[in-house]
Amino acid sequence: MCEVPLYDLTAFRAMDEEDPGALAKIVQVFLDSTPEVLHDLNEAYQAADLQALAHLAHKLKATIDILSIYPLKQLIRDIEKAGKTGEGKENLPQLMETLNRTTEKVFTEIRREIS
Amino acid sequence: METILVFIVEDDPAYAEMLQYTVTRNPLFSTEVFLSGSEMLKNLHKEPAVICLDYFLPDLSGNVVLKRIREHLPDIPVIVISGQEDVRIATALYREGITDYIVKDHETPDRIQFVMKHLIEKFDLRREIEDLREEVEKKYHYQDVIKGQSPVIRQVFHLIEKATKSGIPVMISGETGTGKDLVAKAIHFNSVRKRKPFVTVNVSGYNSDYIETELFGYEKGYLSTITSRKTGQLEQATKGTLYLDEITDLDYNLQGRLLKVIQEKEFVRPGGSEAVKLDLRIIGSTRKNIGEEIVRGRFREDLYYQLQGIPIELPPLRYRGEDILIIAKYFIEQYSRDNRSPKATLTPAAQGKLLRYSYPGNIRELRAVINLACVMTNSDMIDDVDISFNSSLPHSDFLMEENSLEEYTRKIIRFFLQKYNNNVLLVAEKLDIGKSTIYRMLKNKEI
Repeated sequence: MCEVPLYDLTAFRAMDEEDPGALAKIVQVFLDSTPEVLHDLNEAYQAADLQALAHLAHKLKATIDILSIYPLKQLIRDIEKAGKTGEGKENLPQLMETLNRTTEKVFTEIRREIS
Repeated sequence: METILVFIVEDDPAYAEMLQYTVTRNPLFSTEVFLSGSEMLKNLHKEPAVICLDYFLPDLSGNVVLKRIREHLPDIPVIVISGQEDVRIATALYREGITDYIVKDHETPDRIQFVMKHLIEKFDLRREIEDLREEVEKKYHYQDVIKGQSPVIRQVFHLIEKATKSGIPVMISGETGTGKDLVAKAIHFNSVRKRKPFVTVNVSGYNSDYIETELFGYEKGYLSTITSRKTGQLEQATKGTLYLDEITDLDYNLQGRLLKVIQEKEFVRPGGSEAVKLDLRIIGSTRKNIGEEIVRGRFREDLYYQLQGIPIELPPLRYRGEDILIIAKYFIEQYSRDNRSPKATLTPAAQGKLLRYSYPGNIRELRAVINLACVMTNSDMIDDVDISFNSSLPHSDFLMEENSLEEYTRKIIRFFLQKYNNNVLLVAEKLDIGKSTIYRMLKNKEI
């Protein structure tokens, strides 16, 4: 069975070929800045601040897309939608749990890959 | 190397880093990153060439940021990068004039590279246009196109300079061949309107229907045979200069319409109903005596007062003394450059011959005379025998005026004083009359 990769850095690898170190530099910014966004997102969720939740999910969505973190692509959109419209709000506990777990896993994998 | 400055406005630092990296892969670009819209707006004075704008910012909405950008830099290319794939937003933004709308996904770096490549082509084109504009501006720097140092031409320079610094109309008068077109272009290309169109309408020699169409254009269906709208020269000169060459030849009825347009700063295209706003400067020119045209009822006095603005009277070449030689030398240089031939010099005899002639065709005639002399000479010297004037042209209409002897005397003395920079002693010597006669006539304001 063909396993879906957790993420895909192909878009950055081409840059890295031209300028070695580029990949590590960009990914490092991601590793540095994403935990804060994730923290704020969890805080908004705990406070049931749906507007902030939608905004932070939107912000995270771009990073997830560019790093092609496949398991989170639809999930982050669902969180954003729940925050914006309330639709699927009941799934938020599970969505947030998957988001936290998967991002942790992605962090570990990416750190290992670029080290 | 001078780089093209790109502003990146993105609140996600990782994404901003990626955008920055993507853009600067091309060494022609340099970037500045802003994590908020307001921070970027504070830096617009740095005049970036491109702005990559995240549509969803924490402090200001994309619409607001875009509007403020347009207020400061109306023509700047803006690439909107958005996490939202919303066709309505994208359509509205394209209507606002954005260059591209890119959705954030794994293809974003490629899309940005693609857009930036096209922008470079656009910038190259713009730079070429800019270079050409500079060349034209340089070409029409008035002291480069109008040669001479005589007091009469220095007065013309003074008026041209005043005209370049003001936006009021200019009326240029002068005989055929005195350089009225050059003066009009020199004023436009040295004024604040220099980057906008310079549109010439030659009023002379065309029937009034043609001129009306040229000036005002028409709407589709104005006549049964007209199937599309035509934009007139008045509109084409928007924000620039409309040069009405030989304006005194304009049909009397059209003069009235032109007057109305100038007063109301708007007009309605024939066959239309919508008013077209106008923002242009008008420069008129004439070879005729406007005062006389007004007295004879051929030119509207009210239009004259509207257009008079700065009156510039170009002196005939025969009143410009030593300027004749300066211009002749300039034409010799031009001939030598255009024909890749050695530059000839004028012998004293040739100079004398040039100075004695009356040039009814003015500078245009002098150019023809010099070109012919450059062809006729067999050496690097132009002698008097190489210079020939067209004998079919009248030397002067001086005697045709049938003035009194007293008036002729005054005219002759006035002419010589202008020619020799008001040097009374020299003029007295040239005319073999007493200097006291001239002083007396000056004192009595006879001349």
